Formats: sequence, C-alpha cells, structure tokens
Amino acid sequence: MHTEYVSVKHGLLALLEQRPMYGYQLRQEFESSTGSTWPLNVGQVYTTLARLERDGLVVPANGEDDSQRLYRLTEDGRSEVRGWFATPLRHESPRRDELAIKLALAVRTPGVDVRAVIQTQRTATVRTLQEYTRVRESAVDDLSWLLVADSLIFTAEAEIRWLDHCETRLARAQRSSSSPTTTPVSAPNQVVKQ
Amino acid sequence: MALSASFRAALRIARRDAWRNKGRSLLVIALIGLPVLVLSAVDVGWRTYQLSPAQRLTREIGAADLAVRSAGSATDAVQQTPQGWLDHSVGYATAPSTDHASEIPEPASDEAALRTMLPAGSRVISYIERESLTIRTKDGVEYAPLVGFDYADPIAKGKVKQLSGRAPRTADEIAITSKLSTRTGFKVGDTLTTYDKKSSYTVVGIVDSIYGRRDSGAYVIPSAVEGVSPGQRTWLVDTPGPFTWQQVLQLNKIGFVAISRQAYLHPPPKSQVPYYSLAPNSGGNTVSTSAVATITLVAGMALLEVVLLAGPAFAVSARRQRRDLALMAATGGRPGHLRNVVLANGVVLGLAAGVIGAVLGTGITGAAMGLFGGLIGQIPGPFDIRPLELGGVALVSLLTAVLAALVPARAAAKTDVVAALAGRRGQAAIKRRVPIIGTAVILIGILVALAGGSATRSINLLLAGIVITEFGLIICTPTLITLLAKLGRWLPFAPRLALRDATRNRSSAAPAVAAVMASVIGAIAIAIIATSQTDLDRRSYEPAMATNAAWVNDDYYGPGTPAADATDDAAVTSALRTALDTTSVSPVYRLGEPACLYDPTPSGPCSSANVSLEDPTATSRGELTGTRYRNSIFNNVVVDGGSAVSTLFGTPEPAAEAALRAGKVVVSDSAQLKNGMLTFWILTSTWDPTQPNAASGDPVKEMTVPAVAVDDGFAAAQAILPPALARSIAGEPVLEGWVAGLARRPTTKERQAVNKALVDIAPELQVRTEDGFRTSSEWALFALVGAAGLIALGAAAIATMLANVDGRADLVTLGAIGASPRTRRVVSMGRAGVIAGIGCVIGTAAGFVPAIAWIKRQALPGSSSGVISSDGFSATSQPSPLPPQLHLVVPWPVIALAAVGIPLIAMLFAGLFTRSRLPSERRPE
Amino acid sequence: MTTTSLAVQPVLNHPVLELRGVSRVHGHGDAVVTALDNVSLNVAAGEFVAVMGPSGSGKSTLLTIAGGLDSPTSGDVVVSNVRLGGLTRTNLAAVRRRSIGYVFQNLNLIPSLTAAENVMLPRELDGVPTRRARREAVAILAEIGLEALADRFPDDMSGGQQQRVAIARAIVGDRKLILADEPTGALDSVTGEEVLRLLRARCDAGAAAILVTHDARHAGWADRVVFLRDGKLVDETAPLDSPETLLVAEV
Repeated sequence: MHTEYVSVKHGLLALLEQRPMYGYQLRQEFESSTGSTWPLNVGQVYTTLARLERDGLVVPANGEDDSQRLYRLTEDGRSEVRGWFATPLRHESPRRDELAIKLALAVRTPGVDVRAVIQTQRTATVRTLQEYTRVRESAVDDLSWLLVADSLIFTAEAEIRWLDHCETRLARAQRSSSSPTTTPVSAPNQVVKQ
Repeated sequence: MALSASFRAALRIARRDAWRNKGRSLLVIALIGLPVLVLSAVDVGWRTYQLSPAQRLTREIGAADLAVRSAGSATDAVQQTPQGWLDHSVGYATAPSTDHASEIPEPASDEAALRTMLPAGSRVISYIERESLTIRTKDGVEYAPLVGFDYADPIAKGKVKQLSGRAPRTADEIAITSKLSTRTGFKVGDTLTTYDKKSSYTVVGIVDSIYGRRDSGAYVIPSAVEGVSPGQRTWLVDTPGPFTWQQVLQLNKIGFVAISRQAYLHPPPKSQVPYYSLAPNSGGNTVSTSAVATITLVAGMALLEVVLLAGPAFAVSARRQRRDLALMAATGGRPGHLRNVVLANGVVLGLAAGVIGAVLGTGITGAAMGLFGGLIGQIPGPFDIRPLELGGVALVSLLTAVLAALVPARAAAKTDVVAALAGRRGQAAIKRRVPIIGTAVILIGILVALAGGSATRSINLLLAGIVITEFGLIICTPTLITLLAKLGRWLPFAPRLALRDATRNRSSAAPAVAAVMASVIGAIAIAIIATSQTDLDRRSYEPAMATNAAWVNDDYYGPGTPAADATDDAAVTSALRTALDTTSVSPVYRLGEPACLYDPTPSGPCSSANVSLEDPTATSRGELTGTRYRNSIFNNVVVDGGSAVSTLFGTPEPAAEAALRAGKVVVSDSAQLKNGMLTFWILTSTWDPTQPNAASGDPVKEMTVPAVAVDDGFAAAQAILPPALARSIAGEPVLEGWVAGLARRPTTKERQAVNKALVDIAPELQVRTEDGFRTSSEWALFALVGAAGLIALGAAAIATMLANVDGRADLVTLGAIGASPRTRRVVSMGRAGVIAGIGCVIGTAAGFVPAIAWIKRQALPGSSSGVISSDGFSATSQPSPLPPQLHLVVPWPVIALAAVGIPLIAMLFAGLFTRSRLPSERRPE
Repeated sequence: MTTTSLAVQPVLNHPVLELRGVSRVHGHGDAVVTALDNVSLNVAAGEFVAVMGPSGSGKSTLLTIAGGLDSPTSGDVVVSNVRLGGLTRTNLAAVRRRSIGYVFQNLNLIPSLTAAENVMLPRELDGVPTRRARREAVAILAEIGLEALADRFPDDMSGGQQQRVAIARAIVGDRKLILADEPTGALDSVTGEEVLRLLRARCDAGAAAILVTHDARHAGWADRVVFLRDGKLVDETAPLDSPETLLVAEV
C-alpha cells in the first residue's frame, strides 16, 4: 500500500536521523518505538532501504563488500525527514469503516437488534481498550511508545463514544413516533452475555 | 429618595434569597425582631397606661365638678396650681402670711365654711381616708386602709368599680377590695370585726379601686368613720355650672385646695396662677446626665449584642451567595454592587423584623392588657397606639440588621472573583495589623477602666473603659480563633473539626463568639462586684443579738409603767415557750433608774447613775480601741445573775455564769481586762425637774472590780454586771425584756402566733429575732449568670446551626467513610463547645477587668463615709472602729458555671437537638 | 509506579464484595423508579471492576448499596463475608470504617482538615488514638508519594492531589474494598490517569475496587468492565489474556 510505504519510509529515515544503522537494527528500533503495532518483515525493510538509496536519501556508510550494510542519511534524506515532521497528515478520503457500514445496514435490516449489536461491539472495544491500557502500562518508561499506545487508546475510546452516541440516537429515534424505523424494539435481556 | 436601579436589583436579590432560605431568615427576624417586639409592647403599654388629663381627672374626682381638700393647718391661705394635688411634682404651697394676713377672711376648714363658697344648688359628698382598719382574721390580724365614701353616689362615678354585691348603705355595712378579700377570705355576707372588737361590719360588696387591683382597702359610708381629722377628708362637689379658676382662688384664701374640672382641663394662663410666682421652679425634674449615659450604654450594648448575634446569619448568607456575587462581578458589577447585595439582605430582613416585631408587640400588649390589665398598679386607659413611635422602634431593627450585615457586606465587596467562580472556599487571611489594633484597643480599654476606677473616679470613664475593652476583644476574636485552631492538631477529631471550621468560617464564628463574650463579661463583672459587696455586707453586718435569739420588750416597759410585774414575766415566758421552739427564756435587767424620772409631778431633784467602760475624763486617746461591741439591741451594760448570760451570747457560757454568780463582772472584750480586773467609771447625773435650767456637772467615780471575758464570737453587751454590784451602783435593776434562745428560725406562722400571744398580754410588746446575716444575692447571681448563659446559649446555638448547615457536605463525606451516625451529634457538640467555650472563657477572664476597677474605685480612701482621720480623735464616747473595706471576692461557683458550665450546657443542647443520622444515608421507605 | 504488576492476582478466595440479586426501587405506586434490577456481581480481592453505563443507569445506586449507604429493596450485599442487610446504622458505619473506602468525584475531603487529618479520619473514628492514626496516615501518604502534602489543606491542593489523598483515605487501615464514583470527573486526562494508576496499583497490591464511570478510557484500567443499562447488568468484558499474548492477539 502506498501510504504504508510512506510511513515506513519516513519511519526509517527518522530512525537513521539518530545514527547510522544496519537493516536489522532498523527493524528492531522501528518495532520497539511503535510498540510492535506495525510489525515489519526484513524484506520490507530492505526493499524500502533500496528505494531510499535509489532516491538518494540514504547511502551505505561502510564498504560494499561487507555482508551487512550500514546506512546513513544524506542531506536530502535529512531535509526529507524534517519536511515530514513539519507537514500535517492529510486524510484524503474517508476510511471505509466496516463498523459504520455494519450499523447502517443493521438499522435497515429487519429482525436485527441494533442495541445488541452496539453493546457487543462496545464490550469488545472496551476489552481492546483494557488490553491497550495494560500494554501501555507495561512500558511506561518509553515516551514514544506511550504516544503510540495513547493513539490506539484514544481511537478505541472514540469508537466507544461513537457507539454510545449511536445508542442514544437510536433510543431517541425509537421514542419519537414520527420516525419510520424498521428496527425492532428488543428487550435488553435478549442480549447474549459473552 | 429614589432608589438607584442597582440597589433595587440588590433588594430584589435579597428578597428572593430571604424567601429561599426561610429557616435562616426566620432566625434573623426572630433575633432582630425580639427587641423590637419588646420595645413596641412597652411603648404601647406605656402609652396606654399614660392617661389623658380627662382620664386622670375622672380617677381622682369621679364625675364631680370640683374636689376640695383642706390644706391642713387651716390658718393661712394657700396657693396652688390648676392641677391641685393631682399631678405629681406640682403641688400647692401655703402662702406667706405676713402682709395680707388682716385681709384674709377667717380661715375655715369645715364643710360649713366650704358650702358658703359654693354656688347655690351644689351638692357635696365626702371622701374620707383613714389610716387603717385593723381586722381580725382567722389567723390573726390584717390591716387595710379604710375609706369613708359613698361611691354609689352619681358624683363618685368612676372612682370605684363594683365587682360583686353592692355599696354599703348603713354604718354597719362595708365593701372590701378584691385584694383584701383574697387576703382575709372574707366574702359578701361575712361579718368583719375590728381587732379591738369595737366595731363589726357586714361585707356587702367586693370592689376594685380604679387605681388597681393590688390595693387593699375597705369602703364604708362616710358617717361610719369616726374621728376624722381635716386632712383626711376630701369633698367632691357637683356644681350647677363650671367651677372657675377664680372661684378656686377664692377657696384658696380660706385654706382649701381644689381641683376644678374646668381649671384642670382648661388651665388658666400662668399669669393668673399666683403659685408660679411663689415657686417658679416647681415641676420639671431633670434626669441626670450619668443616668442618660448609663441608659444609652445599656441600650447600646443590647444593640451591639443583637448585631453580634445576627451577624453570623448574614455572614453565612453572604458566603452562600459567593458564587452569585462572583457572577455579578464577572458580568460587570462593581465592588459596591456586591456590597449592596449583602447589605440589602440586612435591609429586607431588618424591615421584616421591624414590622413583624412591632405588630406582634402591639398585639401581645393588647392581649395582656385585656387579661392582666389592672394587676400592675393601676387600671390602664384605652388602648393607645402611636404609629410614629412604633415606626421609630421598627427603624431601630432596620439599623441593627444593616449594622449586622455591614461586615459581611464589606467582605463581599472584596470577593476574590476567580476563587469564587472556581468554587474554592478560600478566605482572606486576617491582616496583620488587625490583632495589633485589637490588642492596643484592649490595653487602652483596660487603662481607661482602671483610670476610671482610681484616678478620677469617674463612673463614665469606667464604663467607657469596659466598652473599649469589649470592642478590642471583638476585634481580636478572629485572630484568637485562628490561633486556637492551630492547637487543633493535638485534639480529637470532633473538637479539631469544630475549631478548624470556626477558623474557616470566621465571619460567622467570630461575631457569635463575641456575642457570648460580651454577655459573659457583663455577668461576671456584676457577679464579682456583687459577691464582693455581699462579703463586705457580711463583714459589716452587726447582729443585734446572738443568732437565732428572740428579744421581747417594749419601749415604755420600765419601772414607771404598771405592766412590769411578775405576772407579765410568767405570761411572756410561757407565751414564748408555747409559740416558739425555744431552748431557754430569761428576763434581762438593766441598771436601776430612779422612780422620780417617770414621776409626772416631780417634787425635787433625783439622780441616776450610768456606767462607762471608757474614761470620760480623758480628752483624747492615743489610739482607738476598736471594740466588737457595736449596736447590740441591749444596753451597753446589762444586769444578770447568771441565768441569761448564755442566752445573750448564744452559746453555753458556764464560766461566765459561774463568774456572775460569784459576783464578778463579765465583759465581751478581753482587751478591757488587766490582770483579771476591769476598771470602769460611774457617771452620776443629777436632775432637778423643778429647776430645769440649773446646771449640773456629771460626777465621775472610777471603780475596779474582778471580771472575766467571754471573748468568742458575738458580743452581746459591753459588760454584764452581777445584780449585787448593780444594786450598789444604781439601786434595784429594772426589767428590760426577755431573751429567748431558739432552736431554729421561727416560721411565719410561729411569728404570727407569738405576736398574737404577746399582743394579748400587752399591746405594745414586740418580738424581734436575730436571723443572722442573710442574703438573697447568691441566687440573684446565678440568675444573672443564667441570663448571660441564655444569651451565650443562643449565640452558640445560632452559630452551631449555621455551621451545621454549612458543614452538611462534610457530613456526607463523613458518612461515606464510615463515621457512625453519632458522629453528627459529636461534631455538632464540638461546634457548640468551641463557640461557647472560647466566648465564655475569654469573657470570664475579661469580666475581671471592670470588677477589679470598680472594687478599686470603692476601696479608695474618702470614697466611703465614716473613715476617721488619722489622729483618731473622735468626740463621741463610743469609738468608731474602721469600717470594713471592699475586697475582691471571687464567686468561684459562678465563675465555674460561666467558664465551664455554660459551654457544657451548650454542648448538651447541641447534642440533644442534633439528629443522630448522617445525610448520606438512605434507606428504602 | 514500578510496582505495577500486570498479572491478575490468582487469589481465588471468597470475594470481597458480593451482590446477590440486588434490586432497589424508589417511590411508590405510579412513581416507582427501579434504580437497580436484580443485579449480581462479585468482586474478588485484587480485582478492579469498572461499571459503565449511561446516566441514570443505576451506577451510583450500585455503589451506595455496595457501601452500605443505601439498602437494597431485595437481595443481599456481602462485604468481606459480612451480610449488610439487618445491620444497624451504627454497625453499617463500622463496616464502612473498617472494610470500605469511598472516593467521590467531589465533596471528597473535609476542607477544614489537613490531608493527613483527612486520611486518618476513618482510623480515628474507629477509636485508634490520634497519634497512631496520624502516623498511619503519613505512612500511607508516603507510600503513594504524597508525604509533602500531609499538612496542606484541601483548598491548597490540586484536584488530582485531592483525589489521591482521598484514595489514601480509602485504603488506610488495610481496607480491602475501594468504591470510586467518577473519581476523575473533574480532572484533566493526564491527572486522571495518575489517579487511576494509583487505584490500579492498590488493586495489584491486593485491594478490590469498583470504579463507576462513563469514560471508556478509565474503564480501560479495569480487569473487568460490566455494563449497566436501566438498572440491569447487560454485559461484561471477557477476562483478559496474559499480557504476553496481547500482541499476538492484536496481530
């Protein structure tokens, strides 16, 4: 995926900004900084490095005949990293969110208990949130790792809040008789626990 | 005056706030309204009792046109005011009889003379006041004024109120007042007999004098009263036309004073009243400035007390409004606006309290008049409300409330807007100069009080000192509370919380503490002064006899009077023994007196002898020999053969009895003996009634006899001579009276019984008993401290209630962390204890200042009479010992009650009136 | 914060808190409101349970009933093997003092008392001598790194500090059940996290805690999250895996 290449490319460049590194070192550092959230395989690393070398952003720092190549940034690479940090990310098109589509369809599909769908999702997301929280606390000393974990936590929280909001909106829609809805009103105890 | 829009807004906020916090508003209204209620009740009552001239006239002269009295001497013309004898200070005077004596018609004071002066067709009735009627009752004797007055006559209308029965018509009928009826038990139809059994009457009516239900009295028809002297008679006259002032002046010329309806209601100009030229300064008594100062002080302190009591409520309401005030400030309110909002609370509640207090006070007086109208002296006139005066009283409440709201209002103006909006309850620290100023004020106050107590001896200075000290203490109170709160660290939870709360809520706690303090200071000062005074009284008390002794004698009882014989002795002794619980009864004799003293037709000179223990020939004495003998009921020198001496001294004195039997003298001061011998002087006076102007010196003879001293306790007499010695000096001793030792203090019934028995023996015999020094002031002191305690309890209650309301949130927390339900009560008790405790302890300590100043003032040389100059010379033969001085005597029980008891009681009440339940708890219904 | 242990304590003794079929009804007749409807919940020692639900779902009622401040209309509440039903108010208070610690969103500390005095309060109320209670309080404050605040008054502390002092008060005297009602409500997210981290740490040290919140991020700290809706328990999260497996689970 193009976007993935972009973030891996900039991630590696940012790591090389600290010091020259070997390819396997780069992989390790990337994973530990992002809390293994985006695992990289070695091939991906070397492919990216090759492209970067081609673009003149990195150069090997040791002799070509060494079995392991040590990479360092060029001036172009350095300005590329600076530019990356200075430029905001742009979400060019809305992500296709499966959950949103699921709920949108659930509202229109007869016989589906939307509240149960929401609750099931919420329970699952809260559980994910619990896990993120726990993982984050296990590495509380690593600031960059914390930021990434926080990003995940806040995303999950946002989803839960969105679910809460959906539920409130749903309840309101059910209450107002004017709104023609096909959603069946189901008793909460129909929800299957776990 | 148009109210500014912003103040109107403040008033509106205050009104809403008062309505929303009904409990607190009611509390403030009650506090401020109570004095208003009392004042307006008093005002209405006073106005109602204050009679109009017509009402007063009716009470004095009934429906008559004229009342006439003889001026007494009936030899001279009199001059009078148009008010006659009716208006207190204005009187009448006998005119100087020098110049015009010859022109005055022959003065007369009888009815016939009066009638000649009255216009034709006049009708006259008499109103005669005799001193008293002695009535035989079931239990003894009762006295009542006797009035000869046909009150059923139309002229008399308005002077006497018939309650039951009818008016007397014949000489053997009588009407008695309701008071006399309840005292004696006589009812209509009973027969009433005088003590001497000379007259008896049938009771035909029960009446009340128009002057009030308290008066005892009896009415008969005028002709039934015998032996009337001119001054006792008043004539009420019904004239065909008005009796003019000129006619009154004519009556004056023949020695009559008169009250004419015409002249009384329409007084002539002063120029026509000769009395005014005679006594221009009559009337108009001035009130002394110091009395005005004292009244102002008392009123001011009462007002201060109310301000202090109401202050906490306004402080709490201001704190409650903190957020509102901050919002106001945030939307552009100036500090002045914020202050006005809090002040408006005072205006609203003060007005409400004023109106409610005035209305209730008026109503209560109205109701009380109807129920108890005549009980306090006289029957009131018609209900009299003065709206202007009541309005003034209500304004006082407005002033009080605004004053009470002033300090919180000033604080509100300084609200920290940011902190208030953030919901922090922070309180500004006390400025450092405040306690310094306060301490300085206290010191100045103490100095002024002490100065008033010593240097200038100005009572006003002393009072000013007390007030200044009190203000200083009030200024220091917040700092003091803060300092005390630091001690909280070592205290258990409840008092610690209470102390810290008091600090945090200084604005409400400080005035409450000050209120407690102010009331306790006054009570303690008065208690100390009164106790010291009582102590002085006790030390100065001079018993007339040994304690629990009874003494029977009569002034005329002596050798010249026929009653002094052995039969009387036996009768009196047996009467005393029967009626009283006696331990001993003995006759007491004094030195003999020559019979010629009582001889109405003396034929020649006779001489009497007297005994003095001081050398009458000495011209001066080097030092005073103070003797404990002061004013015993007995003569200095008593004659006794040994039978009465123990009773005289109140203790068994076998040695003295033996000495008297052995012919020795007994004295009550061992300092008078030298080697068992007493030296005394016999003064012999010779008196020749046939030659009253013949000079005769008093020959003096010195004598030294063996004597013993009874030197313990009470000194009954200077010297007791054995009969043989007495005979050798002045012949046969005479019976002076009887002394009885009593096992206990006689009851009222016993007193009445012995009186009756003695009167039956001889009418002049009197019995006196010596009860020792008695004082009722101790109970008065406790009552005083009790009253101060009530104020203190009130202040503590208010502050505790407010703190409890304020600390409700804390109680929720306490409940959640597992405080037992009792904790609420304990915390409440702690709060009451802190407020009352601080106030009482400081107040008690501070109360010493004025007391000490006062006692110092009293003890200053020259401030009390009877201190003898240092050379000790005194012209009287009786040396005057130095009078006892006022010492500081501390009434420890009262102090303990104030300092410890009141706080404990406050805590007890707080405990009793606090629910043992935490607000965080809920249970299913 | 180095004491943080990730493992759920495998202590499976009797639960510290047991709610058995608890219902709570307010009012009568037409005005009946069912705040809790047949709720059963066990909280074991060392367990951190979050209760989530919209406003009015009965979260706070659950907490007041668990703490003995309110009594259920039916059902049983057992705290540390003591049935609360039938206890007198005084005995209930004693249970609160000895076994339960409350932490609220606000109204937490008594403003007239210093931090140390607030913390020592439950011990003092329990009759422990003031001196000893103060020592214990200072020790607890030191344990959570707040000894510097011991003599400060609540008004002089930040919100986060106040809440942490409140937690210290909730655990002083070795109490095993912490009931927290939106304790982070008035705090910013980082300060709120500190408070939750402290709660988490206490649970890891063996306490049981119930956290009532509507904030999912805070619920994330819990071992278990239960969902309340209209007074009923509608769902709860599955037990967490051990942290080592988490990464795998995510990928």
